[in-house]
Amino acid sequence: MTSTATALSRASRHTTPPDRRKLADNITGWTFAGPATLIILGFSLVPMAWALALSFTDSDLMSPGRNVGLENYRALVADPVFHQALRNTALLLFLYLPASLVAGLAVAVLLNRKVRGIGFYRTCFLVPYVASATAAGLLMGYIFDRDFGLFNGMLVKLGLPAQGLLSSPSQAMLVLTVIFFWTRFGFSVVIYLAALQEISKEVVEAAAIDGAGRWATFRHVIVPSVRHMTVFLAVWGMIDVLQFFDLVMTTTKGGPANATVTIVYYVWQLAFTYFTAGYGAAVAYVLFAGTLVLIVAGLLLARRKGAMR
Amino acid sequence: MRRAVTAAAAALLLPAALTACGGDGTQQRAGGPVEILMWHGQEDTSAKSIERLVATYNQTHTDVKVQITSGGVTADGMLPKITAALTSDAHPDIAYLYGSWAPNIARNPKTADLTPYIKDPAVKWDDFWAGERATVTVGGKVIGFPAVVDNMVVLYNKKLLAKAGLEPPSKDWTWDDFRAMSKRATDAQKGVFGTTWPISGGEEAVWGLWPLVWQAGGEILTADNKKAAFNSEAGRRSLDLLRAMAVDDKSVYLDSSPAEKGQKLFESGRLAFFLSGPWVLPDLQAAGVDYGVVQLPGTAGNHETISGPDTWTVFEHDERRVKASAAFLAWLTAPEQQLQWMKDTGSLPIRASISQQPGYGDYLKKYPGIDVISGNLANAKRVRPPTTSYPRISSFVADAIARTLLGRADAKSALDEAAAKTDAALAVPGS
Amino acid sequence: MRRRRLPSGWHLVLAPMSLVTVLPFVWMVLSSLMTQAELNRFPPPIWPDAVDLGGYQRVLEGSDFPRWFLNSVLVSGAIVVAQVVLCGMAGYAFARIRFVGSRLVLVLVIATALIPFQLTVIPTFLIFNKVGLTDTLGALIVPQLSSAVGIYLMTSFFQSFPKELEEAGRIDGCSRFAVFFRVVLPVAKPALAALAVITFITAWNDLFWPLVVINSEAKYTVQVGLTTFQGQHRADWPAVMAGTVLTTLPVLGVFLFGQRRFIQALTGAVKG
Repeated sequence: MTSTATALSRASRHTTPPDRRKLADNITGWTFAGPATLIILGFSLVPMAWALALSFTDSDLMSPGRNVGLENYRALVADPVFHQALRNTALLLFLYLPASLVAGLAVAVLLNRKVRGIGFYRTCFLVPYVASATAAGLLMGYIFDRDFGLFNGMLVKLGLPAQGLLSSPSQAMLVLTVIFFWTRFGFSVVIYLAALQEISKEVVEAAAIDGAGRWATFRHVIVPSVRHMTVFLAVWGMIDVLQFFDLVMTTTKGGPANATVTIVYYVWQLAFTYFTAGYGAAVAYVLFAGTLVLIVAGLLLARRKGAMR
Repeated sequence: MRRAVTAAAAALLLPAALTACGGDGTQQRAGGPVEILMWHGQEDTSAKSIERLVATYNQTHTDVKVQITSGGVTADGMLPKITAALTSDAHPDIAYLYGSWAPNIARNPKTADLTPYIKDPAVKWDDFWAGERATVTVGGKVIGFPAVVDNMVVLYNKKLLAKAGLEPPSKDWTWDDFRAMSKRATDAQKGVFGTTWPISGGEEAVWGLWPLVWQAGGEILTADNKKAAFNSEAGRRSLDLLRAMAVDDKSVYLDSSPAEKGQKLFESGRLAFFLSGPWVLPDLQAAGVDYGVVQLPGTAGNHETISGPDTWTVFEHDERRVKASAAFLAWLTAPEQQLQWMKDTGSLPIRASISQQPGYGDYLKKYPGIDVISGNLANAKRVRPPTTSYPRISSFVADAIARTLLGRADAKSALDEAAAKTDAALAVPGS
Repeated sequence: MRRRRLPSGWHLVLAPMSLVTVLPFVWMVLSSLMTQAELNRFPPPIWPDAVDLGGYQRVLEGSDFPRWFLNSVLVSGAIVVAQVVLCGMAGYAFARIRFVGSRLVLVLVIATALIPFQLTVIPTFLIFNKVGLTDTLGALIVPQLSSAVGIYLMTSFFQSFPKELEEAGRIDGCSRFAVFFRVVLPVAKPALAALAVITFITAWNDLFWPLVVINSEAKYTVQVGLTTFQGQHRADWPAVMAGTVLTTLPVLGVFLFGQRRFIQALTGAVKG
């Protein structure tokens, strides 16, 4: 995405007269991109417009709501659960995103070598990625149970104090982050692994000959070469985090004491548990606008950094 | 697409089939049978039971044909589905919906008004328990029939109590007995707890508190449903009992999972007491637990309980279908059919006259303890406030309960905070 | 280089780490082979005393599992094929062809990935009901015929795709279409395979939308089936675990099978 502009400017080297070429490109371009984008936009623009209209009403989805103007958006400011949902989501974002990038790259570096049985290890790291939320929730609910879980069982065996885990308002979101990390981390590893395999051995060896230590090679050769993938993973990870829903549904339902209510889970509760869909739509829109700003800012930052190199 | 094909095929084939039976070949027109669709939301044995009943109905009635599906979800997941369906005019004629949703559901203009039909003396409307009738009557409009009624009792594990040197609780046991026995039965080393309480943040965490509040002389809301009343002395005492058990005695397993681990623990002999309802009896029998049933512990001789009536709510397509739905539900909820349903599923009688049915004794024999639960219906005197804001209020109280039981707040301040939020929610006009 | 001949050091790091990541799966499989009595011990044991297939038997007999399985295969398969073709084409166009509105549309498409579906589910349902698709497998396929993520991935990939190949084709006088189908697609196979794997996993594990739009048991996907099955057989844990294993295995198989290709493929999508 970051180089869409350059790709576009390079794409039109040709010999035919510019006008005809342009028309032909427009037709081909739209023929190629049309069906896929039409499906996506068709299924999102209409619902989005609907939701926007809903956010200005007090609709409960049962009766036609009254128009309340910006009342829903104003109510957000003072809503403690919304604030908590924001905090929970932010916590997940700030823990998960760096962790998945750093650990993903680290493990990818570990796996990117010719050691006997490396394929087996690689498989092990990738396997959790296929777990559905239903399966992950079921398994992890057992492992991280406060009183009967395997995790606390192990702590106690090691002579460490048992933790509150999913039953503790201060730990439940951390545990969910770990579970989420477990299911998603393999994806970062694969992506980085792919990127690492692109770096030619000569470059790495040249750096070594120049006297660069392992860390310096990592810092100055490897990290910059996978930058494009880091941007990709960051955007993807952010979308993933902000849509974090299924695991909450299958492990804690937002409890205890709202400790694991994320923004999308709150949207769901507002619309389908509390009968306040208009308000839920406002929350969704704030989330949408916020994410858009974050991602655009992130991409601009990445591009500027890239340009400076 | 597939549906279009099926519809086309049906359009071609049906007339022939119906003509052969002497019909006039048209559905949904005067003269032919009225077709209605029902989403039952039942699981496993209950689903099979209701399907059998519907098949019987279709065999014995020519004027109404009932089509039945689960609706694709269990009762818990029915609300989003029915909401989507109502918005799109894709709603079934009858759906299985929790009573606590009724005030909100009734606001939908497509919710039918059965008032004229239940006046038919053959329906014997007054034979249903009063609480059930109140639940399906919203603002003077009857939106459906009672489907299932339950109430909260205490199930106890006989073996665990004996091991702890305890006698089974008598029916006039008190809060203090409950606390003391739970503490005695707890064995942290072996992972045995006195009882369990959900802290996942849903209504499952809340509804068990209300009977205690009622017993202590409290109410959930003020009589006009405009303000919170649960933060009274009665409320504080009730929540403080649970707090003392969970925090001081550590005799409560706090269940943070929506998968209802509590029941699982009771089945595997890890809980002495389990507050639940009749629906778990078949599971307990399957798991081979030696259990007993007793009414809730009381205070000052009051053993009031809570009941959560579920409904068969009717939605409008046209008047004929509403009429047909009412006729079918009147049949389904009649004593003969209900007894069959009760025998299959272990549900409680939804109307008084069922106990005079000839097969009633077999039913009691089949589900040991059901007589206690059935008798406990007399202790179900009050219902949760029929306000559209209840789901929201419930979430405030769930939060207060979780924080108190985890030792993060004391009962009084947690309830006061929930009450302040409740008052704010109730102050919103139209709620 | 010589260091790598002595792998033992890395095994010490990699073995425990990979063990931790797969342990939950191993335990899932093991517990599906236990008897109810064993699993009723709390906490449940790690190893089954003996292999017991009762859980699997009860899943297969007590539910319509094979049917749901078939539904999931149909739905996921159709989605994979559609996305590979449609997102592949769109990605190519966004990366390589200059056409009016392409940048705006691309940004819009990516922005749609940020809309919480928990909210738009109602209007989406409304649309499907209008065209009579609710409670059909079609309703599960159509919204996923194309995806923002797929387009994003393919656009990234084609941006790094060697231009020389296409240009060679172009000089031979082929049209864009011909170049795309004859020259570009065969070389892009690994990237499309990667998209296919990701799409398959997403489609197979989708739960939320099927729960809303499917009403009848004959049209359940395995995930919907598993969820209701869990609800119904709360007491029968070996069966619940067996059901979980059965729903996870196919996707695991696809993933393991496609793994090498997957990594290869993404290798192409890296540069930019």
